Amino acid sequence: MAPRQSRVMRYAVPIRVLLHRFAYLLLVLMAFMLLMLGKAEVALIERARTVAMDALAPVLNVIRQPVDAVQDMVRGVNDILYLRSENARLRDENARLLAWREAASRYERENARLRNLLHVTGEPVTTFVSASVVGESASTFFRTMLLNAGARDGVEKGQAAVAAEGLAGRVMEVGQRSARVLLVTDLNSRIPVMLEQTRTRAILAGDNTDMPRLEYLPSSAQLSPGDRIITSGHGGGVPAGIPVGVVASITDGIVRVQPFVPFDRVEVVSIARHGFARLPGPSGIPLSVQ
Amino acid sequence: MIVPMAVRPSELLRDATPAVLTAVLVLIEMTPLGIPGLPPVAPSLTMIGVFHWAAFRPEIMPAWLAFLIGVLHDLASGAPLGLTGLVFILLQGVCASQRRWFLTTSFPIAWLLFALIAFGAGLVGWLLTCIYTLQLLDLVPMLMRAVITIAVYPPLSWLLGRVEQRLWAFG
Repeated sequence: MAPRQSRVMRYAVPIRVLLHRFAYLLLVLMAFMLLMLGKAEVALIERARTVAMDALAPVLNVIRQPVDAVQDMVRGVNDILYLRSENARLRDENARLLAWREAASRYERENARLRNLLHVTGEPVTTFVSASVVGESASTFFRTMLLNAGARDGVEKGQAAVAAEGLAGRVMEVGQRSARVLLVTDLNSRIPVMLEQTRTRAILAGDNTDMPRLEYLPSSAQLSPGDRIITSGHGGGVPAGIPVGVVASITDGIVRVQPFVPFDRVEVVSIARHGFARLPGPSGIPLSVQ
Repeated sequence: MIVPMAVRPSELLRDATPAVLTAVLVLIEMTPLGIPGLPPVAPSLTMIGVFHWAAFRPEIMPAWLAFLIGVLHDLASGAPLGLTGLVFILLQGVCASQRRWFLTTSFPIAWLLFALIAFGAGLVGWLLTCIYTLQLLDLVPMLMRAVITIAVYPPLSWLLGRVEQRLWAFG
């Protein structure tokens, strides 16, 4: 069978011969211009991003289904294999948690009594909306997650995205039904945090490695590997007291933090709305108590 | 293979299929797989797609299409808009200009050429990101990603080759 040239191509060829070089250069220029417009944070570009995000999130949600099914299957097999040891571990943990619950309810009562004595005004209540992670950043240099909840669910820019283990990141872009979270490990991430023990404030700065740095620590700060880092709540947006990670290493004055969240395995996050308050766990136990 | 006239896909449909497939690769690349440590160095499936069509069927992967797919990738991944677009235009330009190589070449040579181009594209992407963020970024994750992408090339390229054979068998 003789190869047939497509009709589109037949018309396009003479035009292409004339414009090919010029068009190529024009495209390169256009890409540069897009980059510069994006850097200048032009509203139109941001709008385009959120529209595209809204369009992509439902599609990604569908693509995720077979992946989820396979993961569930693997998990199911694992669960059966480790049933006994997992059961023993859960019994241990349950015993420990019961003790904690006692302690927590005692502190809760005491706290309420003391607050009452001091006439402390009530803190604003943080509410949560849960969202599934439908997309990863697929980029070496930018660490983000795409969620399937957006403005219509009450998500706003700057809010904290909290996984079961701790803080995952902050909302950077919001569409109608999708949002993008900048992970704490991203180059552009800056989170006000403090050392849980000493309440020393610092900024957790991502640098695209798996372990973000602690910056702006006072020179007098006392810390050692294993110290817990929690959000400080300064600057608003992120509620205080969300666990972030532990100090992993201190070398040449650079403090690195190992985040609690396994970013590559997060499936669901909670977005903290209107948050300035302490993050309550189930039955009022702060999540920072573990 | 005997195909009845009624199901023979039109040439337009045939020419559009690779573009759609490459767009699907963008989405697959975005899907969280839950594999520990993978996300920052996950293989760039889209790059393999753009390379495959630009090298072996340049007429259906023109520069503007490579650019659009790059922009889609940027929109999906949250990277600066135009960054991947620019990398893919350059990738397409290199492939199209070396067309005579690809037409006669054997698979190992094509793989080697892809390896060179993947490293080149990674370096250009790294350089552009450094300029964009005004910071000197670590090269290692980029190199890891390039190596993993090169490792994934043979099976994906084979698959795309099969699709190509099927599509052009009709035409």
